[in-house]
Amino acid sequence: ETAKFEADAALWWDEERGPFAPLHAMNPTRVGFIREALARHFDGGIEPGTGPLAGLRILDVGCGGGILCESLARLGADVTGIDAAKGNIAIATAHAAKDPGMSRRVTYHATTAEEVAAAGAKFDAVVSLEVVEHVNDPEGFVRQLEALTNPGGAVFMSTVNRTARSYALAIVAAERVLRWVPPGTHEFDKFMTPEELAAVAHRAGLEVREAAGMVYTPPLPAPGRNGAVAGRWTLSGDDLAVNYIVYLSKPK
Amino acid sequence: MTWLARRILAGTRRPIARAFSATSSSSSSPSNPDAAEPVDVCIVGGGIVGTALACSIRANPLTAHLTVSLADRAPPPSSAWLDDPPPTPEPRVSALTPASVALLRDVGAWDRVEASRRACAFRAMQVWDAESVGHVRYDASEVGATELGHVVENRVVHTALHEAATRLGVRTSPPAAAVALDLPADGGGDLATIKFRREGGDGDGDEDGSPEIAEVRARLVVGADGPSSKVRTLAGLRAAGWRYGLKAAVGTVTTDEPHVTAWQRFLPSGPLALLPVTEDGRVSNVVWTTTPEEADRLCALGDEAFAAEVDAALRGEGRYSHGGQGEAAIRAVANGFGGTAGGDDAPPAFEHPPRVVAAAGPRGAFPLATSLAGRYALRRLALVGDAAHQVHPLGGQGVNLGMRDVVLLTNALAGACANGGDVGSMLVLRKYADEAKAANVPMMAALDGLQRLFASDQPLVAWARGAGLAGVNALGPIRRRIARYAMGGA
Repeated sequence: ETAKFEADAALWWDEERGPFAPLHAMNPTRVGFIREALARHFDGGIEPGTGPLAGLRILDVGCGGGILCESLARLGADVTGIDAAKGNIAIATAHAAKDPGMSRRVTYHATTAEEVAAAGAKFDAVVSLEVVEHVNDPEGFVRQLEALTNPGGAVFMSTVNRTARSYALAIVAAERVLRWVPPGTHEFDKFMTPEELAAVAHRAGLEVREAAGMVYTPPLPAPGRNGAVAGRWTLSGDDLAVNYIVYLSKPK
Repeated sequence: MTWLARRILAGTRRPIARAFSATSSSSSSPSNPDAAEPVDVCIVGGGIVGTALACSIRANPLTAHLTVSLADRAPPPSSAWLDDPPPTPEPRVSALTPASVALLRDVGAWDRVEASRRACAFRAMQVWDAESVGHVRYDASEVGATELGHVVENRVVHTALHEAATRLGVRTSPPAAAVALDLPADGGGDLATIKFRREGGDGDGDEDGSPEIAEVRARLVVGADGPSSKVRTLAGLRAAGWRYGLKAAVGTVTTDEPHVTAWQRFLPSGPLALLPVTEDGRVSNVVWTTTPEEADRLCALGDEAFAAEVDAALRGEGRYSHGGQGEAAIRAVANGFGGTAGGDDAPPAFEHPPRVVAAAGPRGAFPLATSLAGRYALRRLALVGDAAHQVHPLGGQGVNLGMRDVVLLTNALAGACANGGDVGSMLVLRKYADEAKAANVPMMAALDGLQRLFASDQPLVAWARGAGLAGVNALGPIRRRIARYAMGGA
């Protein structure tokens, strides 16, 4: 699985024309969901400081080139990003090093969730976006996420639903037609419905608090836009047919 | 839209900027002890629009945590002047829309302007033509407002904004000019680097008095440095446009009676505007667009002669009477043209402007041009105000377009900060650029078109123009929409 990503590692941060442009476009929407949920989850418990996530220690499992980590860091969190692909970690570290404020708040390690959990580390929140649909053992993976979370903490996952529409959009359109991601990136059998994910989470000791769909609206044709992948992503309360994100809590 | 504007928009696609280094030494020590710590937003150009942007970012709760620096080649305006301003208003004024005034209120600068009693809320606006019948008259009550806008001296607004900037924690430094700019390429995470040279140094290249070069690293550089923007040039961007071959002569006059109307009469060479500028409506500002020779001649006149010429031009007397129409005829036909529905819906009738009786204070003339930057933004760079777009002063829209840029850019940055985004990201700045262009270009094209239309002497064109004006004056819903748009609304 990791080989599919490493090939594109060098172009991670070209936001508009690079192969990860769709991720960059999606990022603010995901961050908004996480920010909202964490603000309520730790209501009153977040120490005052710069940013709504000030003082929270957050782990990003499968951080890639660091797109999500940097956004969470700007909101005040103390972020650790891990990824099995050394190339991704190198890119993420190099990118963060370019901004003095950033490298102080985010650190990256080339490792797996299992290894970090085995070391006994725990975090206020663990996020793993667009990862669970790539792992061979989702039950085991979610158990690792639970182990990495402090009691009373929060877990976030996003993934792709397994529906006719998600096949049409995430596989046919995204991989084959639009080439947003290389063909073969996703395997339809590994997509999970929200119910399946909720059941897996429940067995791992996590409760689903909220779920939302992430819906993409393509950009209207406009002069001078040269077709960049800059449509709009919005959160939807009822359309989880393609991409969705869930907020889970770990009991105290 | 003219073909030239279309070509500019379709893409003066420049390669991403490379550094344009200044000449001379690089051996000077940075004077800024925080040189290592980058600033979030570095604004170059401390005029009205640049200072308003600095205030707006610091005042918005979502962007208030951003560090903002403001640099200018000139020293900042002095508060002492505004504490006790000279009795004669300065000749450079702006007609601020309610949207612009709302921005000044939001950043806490408006109270000072009001307290100075040097802002005049005008309730009505009348536009009419020297050659033909027809006029347009708007009253604020038609759109449910108490005023259409405020006329304020630029120096008053500028001083009030600078005071607000200091209160809001905007970082300023001694006067300095931008000399080099380095922007990162797409896909790079580097910050922008901008170099400033201190103004008023001891000279160039001396052993002891070498010019101080300060280097600033910023997550976003904003060019707010006017129509011949240095930042825009350093970034490798172009602006294109044309000079009108006209100058605007500005001066201050008093009228026989106080008034709160913005008067604008279109003479063949261009508009002559009379705007009330003091709160009591007794002192007015004149902006007279005409040929450079005429503008210079008018500026050289003594106070009495200048006042007499403005009065004659507004009334169509003496050398400014045309075509035998006469004011009375204009009024009769215009009222007849518009007076279809009686009662409340009848468009406002033509009114005569007050008489101009005296002039005072300095006068000046400045050349007029319009231009539009090919791109408003690059990675880690945004242009606002005249650096992005320069317009004909018809309707006093220049500052208002700049204030709208301030609101749009602040909103784009606020949206980014809410979700932990990078303020220099092209995804964020493109949103600003698209929205600002959509707001500005129609106005620029309209102002340019109006200027060309009113410069025509041909009788048929003149009649059509007058009839057009009268038609607009008559049609209620269209009038109201135009008024609301001109007031800065949707």
